[in-house]
Amino acid sequence: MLLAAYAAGDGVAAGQLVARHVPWLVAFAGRMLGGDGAEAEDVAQEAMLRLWRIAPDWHPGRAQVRTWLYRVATNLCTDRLRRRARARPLGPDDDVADPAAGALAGMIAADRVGALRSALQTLPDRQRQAVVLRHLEGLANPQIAQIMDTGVEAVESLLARGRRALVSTLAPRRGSLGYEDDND
Amino acid sequence: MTDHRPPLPPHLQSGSGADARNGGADHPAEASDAHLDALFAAARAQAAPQPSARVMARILADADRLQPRPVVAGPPTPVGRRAGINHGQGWASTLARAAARLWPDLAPVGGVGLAALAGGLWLGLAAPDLVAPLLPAVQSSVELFPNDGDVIADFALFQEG
Repeated sequence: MLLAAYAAGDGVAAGQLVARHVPWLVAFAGRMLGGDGAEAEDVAQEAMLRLWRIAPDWHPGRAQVRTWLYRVATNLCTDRLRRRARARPLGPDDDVADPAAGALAGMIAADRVGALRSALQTLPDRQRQAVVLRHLEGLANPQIAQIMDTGVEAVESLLARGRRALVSTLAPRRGSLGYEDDND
Repeated sequence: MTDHRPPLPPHLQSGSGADARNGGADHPAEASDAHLDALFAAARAQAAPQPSARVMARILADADRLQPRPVVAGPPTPVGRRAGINHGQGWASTLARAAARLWPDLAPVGGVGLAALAGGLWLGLAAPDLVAPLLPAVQSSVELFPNDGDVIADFALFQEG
């Protein structure tokens, strides 16, 4: 195992771990953080830093390195999003209880991915984590449950509620997102 | 762990008001789900950010700084060292070699068998109480310690080392 080799002083193992995990960590953090590449890199570095530190005490029976990194990166991203929210207090036009009028104000018109990113930021933390891990990272529910330290049923519930909230948030934008005529 | 968040507002709860949640009575839930899935697909297809060379270098520098350094073995201790003993091998092979000298007729059993046999012998040396009840039967047919001072010395040194 590469992490054990790293802990044993193998200099090559560190490079292999970096090549294997940092690209997807940056991509995942970028999705979680709404596309901020510099912040995504900071998250990846911090997650790997914690991996290096825990390497000597890593137990083989523990979760896989990738799952463990997903968990760490998810928490780091959530912390950053919370700090962002605190730094930008909600104003009267940002009321998330009324997404059609508030949270959608910053959406990029006619940009589907931008609209989805903005809508994701209006979700509660755990719903956003579950939705990103499932629908953008493509992970299976049991792995998401491991990452989020919860049960599969709870993940399913979070996904269902997250999807419903996204549909509700995005519905007023259907026309500008090019979906208005799909169904009529 | 279950989700202990407070209840969702009525317009986000399941089981009621599906049409309102989906942007109007003209749009069934399936269509809205399909639109959402299309957005997810578009997001997945979009190129994900890639790590810069700068961050890769930073992470590798962290790895180098925090990597445990292998412990360099010091000079061998003189205890257990003497001419004729094949040092640098594990305890199992030492026992197997000693067993082969005790029972040369068992050579065809091979190293593993000899090691197992030697392991039993080691158990007898280290914890005689465990095998003492068996000794009378064994002694009736096998001379456990023939007059081979080297073998006995090997075991004595093994115990010391």
